[in-house]
Amino acid sequence: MGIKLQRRINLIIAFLIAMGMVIWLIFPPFWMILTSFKFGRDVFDLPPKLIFTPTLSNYFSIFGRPDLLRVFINTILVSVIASGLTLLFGSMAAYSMARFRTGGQPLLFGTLLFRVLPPIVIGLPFFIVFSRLQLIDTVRGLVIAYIAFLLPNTIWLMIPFFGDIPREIEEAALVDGCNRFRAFLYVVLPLAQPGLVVTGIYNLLGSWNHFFYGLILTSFNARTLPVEASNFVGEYALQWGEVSAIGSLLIIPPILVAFFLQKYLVRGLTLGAVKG
Amino acid sequence: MANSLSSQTKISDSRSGLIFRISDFIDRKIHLVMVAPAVLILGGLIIYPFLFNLNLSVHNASIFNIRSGDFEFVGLKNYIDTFKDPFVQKSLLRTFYFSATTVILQLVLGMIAALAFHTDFRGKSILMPLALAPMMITPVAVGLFWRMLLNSKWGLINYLLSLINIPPQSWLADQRLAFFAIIIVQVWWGVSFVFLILLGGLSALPKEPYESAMIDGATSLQTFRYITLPLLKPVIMVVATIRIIDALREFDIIYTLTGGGPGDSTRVFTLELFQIAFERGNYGMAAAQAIILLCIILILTFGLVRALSQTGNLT
Repeated sequence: MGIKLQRRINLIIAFLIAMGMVIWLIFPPFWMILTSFKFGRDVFDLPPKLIFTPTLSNYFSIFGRPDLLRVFINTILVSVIASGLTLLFGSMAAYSMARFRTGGQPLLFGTLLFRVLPPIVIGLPFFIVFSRLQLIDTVRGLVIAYIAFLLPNTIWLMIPFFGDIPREIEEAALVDGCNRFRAFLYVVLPLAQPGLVVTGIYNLLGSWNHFFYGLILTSFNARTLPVEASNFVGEYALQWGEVSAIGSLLIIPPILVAFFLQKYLVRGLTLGAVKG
Repeated sequence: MANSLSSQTKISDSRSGLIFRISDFIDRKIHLVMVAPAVLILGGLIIYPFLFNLNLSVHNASIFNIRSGDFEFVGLKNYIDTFKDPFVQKSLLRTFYFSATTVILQLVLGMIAALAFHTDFRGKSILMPLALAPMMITPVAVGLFWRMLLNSKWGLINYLLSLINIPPQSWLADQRLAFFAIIIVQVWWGVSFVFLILLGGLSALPKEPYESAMIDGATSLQTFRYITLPLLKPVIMVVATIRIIDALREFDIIYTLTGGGPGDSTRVFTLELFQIAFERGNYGMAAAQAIILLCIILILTFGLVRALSQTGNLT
C-alpha cells in the first residue's frame, strides 16, 4: 500500500515537472504567434488580453512591404536547391564510405571536424572571394555557402542508414546485370528512403533557420527570411505586431514539420543537432 | 563472376567500345567516383576557404588593401595582438563563462525533465513533442520573441514579476541583467536537445542494477547518485561536449537579442569577431581570431570523439 501511494506521488511529481517544463518552453513562441494576430492597440495591453478580436492586419502590413515576397521566395529557393544538391552528393559519398570504407577513418573523422567548424572561419573567406566573383547578394552564392555547412552533416547522418542495408540485396542486383551505379540508384537508394527523408528534412530545416551566411553574404536582393526578421528589430522596434508576424512566419513551418514528422526526426536528432 | 559478365557484354556490344570502357572503369572505381563530388565540394568550399583564412591571419589584410592585394606578411602579430587586446580578452572570458553556465544549466534542467519523462504519467505522449519544439525554432526568432518578452516597459516577464511584487527590471538595458538574459534564453533554446538525448540514454540503461538497488532498500536519491549518474556518464559527456561547442559558436540568438550590448556586456567572442571583420574591416585580425576559436573547438571535439568511441556510437 505504501509503495503504491509512493508510486502515485512520484507520477504526480513527474507530471508536474513535465508540465512546468513544457509551459516554460511552449509559452514564448505561442505568445509571439498570439501577438501576431492582435491589433496594434491590443499588443501592449497589460494585463495582456487573452481574448481579443483576431486580425491579419500585421501579416498584410508586412506583405505590403515591396519585397517580402521575394525574401520568402529566396529563402525557399536557397533551402530547396542547397538541400537537394547536398542530399544527392552527400548520399553518394556516404554510401561509398559506408559500403567500401572509402577514405577510411581519416575521411570519416574529417567530416566530423567540418561539422564543428564555426561558420565565421570559412564565412570571412567566402565574403572576400564572393566579392571578387560578384557572388555577393546572389541566390547562387548563398546556395554555395549553404552546401558547405549542409554537406558534412548530410554525410554523417546518411552513413548509418547505408550501413544498415544488407550487402546481399545489392549483390543480387549486380548478378542480375545492374552496374554498380544503377544498383545504387534503383536498389540501394529506395531502401535508404527513411534516411533520405530524415536527412532531407534536416537540411531543409537547417537552411530555413540559417542566419549567419545570409547576414554576411547578402544585402538586398538575395536576403533571406531570418535576415529580414533581424532587420525588423531596428526598423520596427516598437511595432510588435509586425515583428511578431515575421517571427511567426519564420517559426510556423519548422514547428509544423516537427509536429507531423516527429517519428522521422527523433532518429536523426540523436545523430546530430539541427543548427547549421 | 563480374568478369565473365562484362566479357559477355563486350562481345554483344562492340559498337560502343569506348563508352563501355568508360562505364566499366566507373564501375570498377565506383567507390571513388561516388565520393569524388563530395570530396571536391568539401575541398573547394571548406578546405580552400580555411587555408585562405589561415593565410589572411598572418597578413595585415583589411578592407582597405584586400582588393589591391598589397597587404604585408606580419607573422603571428595578429595572434599576439588578439591576446593583448583587453576587449578581446574580456569577450573570451565572457564566452567561457557563457558556455559553462549555459551547459551546466541545460544539463541540470535537461536531466530533471528526462527523469520526469522517464516515468509513465498520463498525457506524456502529448507533452513530449511540445517539449521538443524549441529545437526546431529559428534562433533569430528566439531572439525576437524573448526581446519582446523581456522588454522593461511592456514585456510580459516584468508584468508577471509585478504580480508577485517584484519591481520591473531593465533586462536588456542593464549590463549585468543582459548577460543573465542571454544565458536564460540560450538555456531555453538548448535544453530540449539535452533532454531528448538524456531521455534516450535513460531508456537504454540496463534494468538489473535498479532491481538490486530496490531490494537493498536504496532511496531514489541514492539510486540516482550511485547507479543512474555513473551509468549515464558517457551520454552526459557527449551531450555536454556538443553543447559546449554550440555555445562557443553561438551567434544568432545573442545578435538578435542584445546585439552584444548594452556596452559590450554581452559581446561574446563570435560577436566580437563579427564586428572586427565586418564593421571595422580588419580581416587579418578577424581571421586570426577565427583560427583561435577553431582551435578551442577542435580541442573539445577530440574530447567528443573520445567520449563517442567510449559509448560505441562512432559508426
